[in-house]
Amino acid sequence: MLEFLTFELNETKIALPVEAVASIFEAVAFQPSKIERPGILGDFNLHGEMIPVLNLDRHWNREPGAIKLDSQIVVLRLNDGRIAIIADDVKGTIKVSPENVIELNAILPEGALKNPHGLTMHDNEIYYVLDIESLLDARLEDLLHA
Amino acid sequence: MHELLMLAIEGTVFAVPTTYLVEVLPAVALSSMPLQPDYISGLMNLRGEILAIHDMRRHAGLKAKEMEETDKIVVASDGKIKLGLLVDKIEAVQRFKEEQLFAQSLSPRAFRIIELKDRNVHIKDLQDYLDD
Repeated sequence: MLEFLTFELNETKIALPVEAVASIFEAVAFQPSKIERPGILGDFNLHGEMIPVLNLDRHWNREPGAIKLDSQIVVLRLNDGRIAIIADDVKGTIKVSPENVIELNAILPEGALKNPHGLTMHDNEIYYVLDIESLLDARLEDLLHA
Repeated sequence: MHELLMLAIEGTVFAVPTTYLVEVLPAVALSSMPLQPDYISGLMNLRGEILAIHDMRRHAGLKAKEMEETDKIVVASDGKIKLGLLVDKIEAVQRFKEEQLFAQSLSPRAFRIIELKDRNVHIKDLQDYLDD
């Protein structure tokens, strides 16, 4: 079975592999970026380590939703660092069998924008399964080390 | 004999060969996804199967609109994959002889045919459909 952390962002239900999750913080407090970094809201101070906070909406070219007081920060573990993302509402974890995770490209038309992410379903809800590796494209890698 | 499901999108009539037809459902709230192509209205859970729902207005080159309660979702399959077609109204299933379709194809107001290919929806002129 695969285990995912689930959360909502701007009405999208998202699932990401639990092994990629380092920690979750209830209160959103981060320092806004002093320099312009596309998709990055600012830096989250985690025990002295400054972790870039990624706005997934901007990463997906969507109009970002408002960050609320009860929004949460999910810190993700990467190969050589960490990055944080904003979640409107972390729901918990779900377990699904691998065959119940499908590639988005399997249902979208050929020639549509290639989308490396997937979909799964749990309790009749459809979740967008984040592919962490592809989320961290070259542009983001540069930002992490900026 | 050609059996076609006649449907309407903003008053314009289209037809889906019933060989593609799985079922017709009332419109339901759809899940959205990031990087969603504009001709996809969203995703639907059909008894445990995730379907991409195509906005037939966009495929027909019409302006998109908010989904209405009276809208319908035509679930169609080419045998490989199921998808949904979001339309305004279902008219009826009609059977046409080849010559009836040919006569219809000569009309400037001839309906067009919706076909499925490569996980996508294609709208064809009736003449092209008959030529195939």
